[in-house]
Amino acid sequence: MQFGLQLLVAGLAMGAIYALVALGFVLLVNAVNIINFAQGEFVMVGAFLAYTFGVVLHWPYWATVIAVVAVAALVGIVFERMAYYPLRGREPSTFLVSTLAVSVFLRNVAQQIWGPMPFAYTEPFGQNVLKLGPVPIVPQHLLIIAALAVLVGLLYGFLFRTRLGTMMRAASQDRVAAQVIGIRVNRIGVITFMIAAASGAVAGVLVAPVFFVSTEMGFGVGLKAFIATIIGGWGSVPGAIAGGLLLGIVEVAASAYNSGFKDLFAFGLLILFLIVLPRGIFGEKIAEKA
Amino acid sequence: MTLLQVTGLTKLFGGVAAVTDLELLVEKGEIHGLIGPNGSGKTTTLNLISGLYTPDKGEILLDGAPIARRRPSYCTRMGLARTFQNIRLFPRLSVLDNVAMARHSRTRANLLEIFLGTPAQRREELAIRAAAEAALELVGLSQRAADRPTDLPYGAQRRLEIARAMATQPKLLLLDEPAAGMNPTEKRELLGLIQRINGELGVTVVLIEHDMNVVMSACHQITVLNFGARIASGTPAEVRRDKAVIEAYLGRGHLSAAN
Amino acid sequence: MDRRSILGFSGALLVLLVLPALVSAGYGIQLLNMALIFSILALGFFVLFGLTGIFAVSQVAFWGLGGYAHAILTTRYHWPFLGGLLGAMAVTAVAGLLLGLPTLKLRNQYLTMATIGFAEAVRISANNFDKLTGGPNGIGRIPAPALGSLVLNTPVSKYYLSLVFVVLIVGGLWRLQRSRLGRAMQAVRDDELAAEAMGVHVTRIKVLAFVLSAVAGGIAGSLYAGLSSFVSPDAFTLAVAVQVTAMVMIGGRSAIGGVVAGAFLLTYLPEWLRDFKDWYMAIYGLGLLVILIFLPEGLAGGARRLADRLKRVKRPVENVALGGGGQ
Repeated sequence: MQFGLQLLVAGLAMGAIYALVALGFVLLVNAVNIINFAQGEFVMVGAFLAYTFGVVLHWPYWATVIAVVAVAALVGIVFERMAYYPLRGREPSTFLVSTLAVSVFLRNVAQQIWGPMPFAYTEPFGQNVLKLGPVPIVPQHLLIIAALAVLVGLLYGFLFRTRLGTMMRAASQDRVAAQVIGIRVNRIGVITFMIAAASGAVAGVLVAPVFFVSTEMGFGVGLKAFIATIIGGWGSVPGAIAGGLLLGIVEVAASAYNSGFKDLFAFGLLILFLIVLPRGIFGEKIAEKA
Repeated sequence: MTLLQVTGLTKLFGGVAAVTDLELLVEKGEIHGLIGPNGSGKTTTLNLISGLYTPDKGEILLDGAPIARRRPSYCTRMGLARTFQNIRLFPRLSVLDNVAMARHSRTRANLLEIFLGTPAQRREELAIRAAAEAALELVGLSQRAADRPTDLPYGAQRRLEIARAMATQPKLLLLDEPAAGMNPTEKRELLGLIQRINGELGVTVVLIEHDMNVVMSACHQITVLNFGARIASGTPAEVRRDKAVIEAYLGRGHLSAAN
Repeated sequence: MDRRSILGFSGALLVLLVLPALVSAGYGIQLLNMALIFSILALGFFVLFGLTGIFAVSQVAFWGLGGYAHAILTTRYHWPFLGGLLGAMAVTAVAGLLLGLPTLKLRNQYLTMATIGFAEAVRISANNFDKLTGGPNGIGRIPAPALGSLVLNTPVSKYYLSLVFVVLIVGGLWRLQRSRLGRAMQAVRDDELAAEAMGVHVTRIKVLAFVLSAVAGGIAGSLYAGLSSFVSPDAFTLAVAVQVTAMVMIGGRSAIGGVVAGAFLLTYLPEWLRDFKDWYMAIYGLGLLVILIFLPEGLAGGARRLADRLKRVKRPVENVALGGGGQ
């Protein structure tokens, strides 16, 4: 029972990370209709930046988080100018290759800056473990779950309560119509890339104490986030969150059973959904077009 | 003799009926016009017949064979070909290959024969080329065989789509607004082409068209749709006098312009 | 075959035939061997991506499956080389079919990611099913390729063996590209819905492309196993998938010759960039992006465009010369 609770918390935390990264996927799909291969690299960038600001420069945690978000947003702009803007209008597979290319680039630049050895980053809780009655809980896990809740709240507030958010939703429903009524669609694209990069980087700060900080960490998280998007339903914001959480729980449960195969379980879940429920939990109805 | 028989055809989009209980009869050898105001369900009907949409209810018989709920490629194999309202050519294939690919369902060379280049396969390739060249000849595009379709003027792209459809060797050719965007000269040529396809080559044609001059002079029979259902059918003269038709078009000026 | 293609093909073949004599016996020939194996891998991806427009990352998984199938069949069951090769082809064909059938119904972008999942799953399995695959240690002592009593145990003889396969595959694909099936693939690439409406069973064509690319991966894996006499999960990482993608994109995704040239170029590029060793992969990524932006049809497409432009410049000059001729 207590073991179960422990697993549930760990699973939800991992799932929250996937959900954060998956949100970036979904926002980009809706805004500019591309799949961003490099979504996971934002996680890596965030984690390395957190290490630099927090450990090397000894900034307090809150300042570190703000700085990471700011720098990641800049990375998002540069990313948009490299991998999306010069190629817009080309066929979809082009963007798979272009984002793949930038992902290789980012990872190797990071390796040149921070070196190939993984770092440990334990902010803000160190190695402390919380006791919830008899159940030991890792406080970082609770922070991750809380952070997801807060960020999702902010995102919904932004999308539904602000002018810019409303414009983003309009542009994602009909680009041409949005353009006609005077929304600057290209600017919406840049902003979406900024949000996607920032949310990925926040996930990086949050997950750094759970993993080691390394150039390899982004790829796996990005892949899982993609699986989460498919499970949740392509293009659906609540789907990204639900899919992420579900995947996190399944994975943690599977690794309790056999850690070597935990990734196989994730891919198994993916294949299962692709066959049985390809539209995912909150899937859009794929429109018939002629 | 009936070539195409559509009965009780119904298609809903998110609960809204685009086509309701549609009946349509096309006789072998005729040019059959399908007209109606914008949004009356003409293109949806065409997409249902050619297999791009799955009907919610109803049957479609082509030469007696049921083709509803089958893949588009099956319908094509059974003798149905179409063009698209918003031209859909293959931009990275040459004009000739755009037509040659349409021989796919009428040819049979398998992978091994292709790798080995067996005599039968080589003969078949030559035949494909000849058929594609003949189809280009038909629409007057022989000179442009090596070009890319995107280099062709708009009207020529529409004719290339007709050539591609003809290369599938159809019994029934569905044309979705082939005259859209054409100037009067091009329209006259198109009319001649459709009549040649029908008269000389014996292919039955279903024609969706907004230009009433084209429709009235080309078609032997016309079916009029409104709100996804048939409101009239008959010869051009009969349809022109039909009360329901005049009402449906009233204020839109299509008929008065045609008269 | 027109005269220009014959000329190009025989010229390239001639170069490939004499190349081993021009490089150093040790590392040089090893690189050439890898270039040929990558050519086969890239040619498989060409069928999938260049012809059919499907961007899948599974090529590396088929390479791995082929390598392991060959290794297991020849070391554990002592099958001869050709048996291992055919076994690898059969295993990858079945795997391609099993992966293709459920995923090809998806939209293309889903498929890409699903194939990454597959590639990772294959690598993880190779790492973890110790009994069959030797785990992270891999499988060693794979016998050298042999045809009957003729044992190809020198790097040069292995090179010519691989070259035979490259020539066969290039020839086959050249024919495929100009056949009814090749045209159907290209039609599917350009407009799936129109292709289907013109009588192409899109799913069947996609599965065919998938299986073909898988089998090419299997052949490459099998030859690789015979070449290096050792397979391990490290050789089949997603970095290889990136490399194969780059080879096809840089060489020219719709030109067979460009694909082989791209494979050679990118096998040698790390050697030329040795002074930038640390920055090599970063340059790689950036270079891929630059090619994508400025040369969407790769080097082959760029060369063709250049040739067209030269022709256009030359023609008026010829006319002038004819007009003023007379001597």
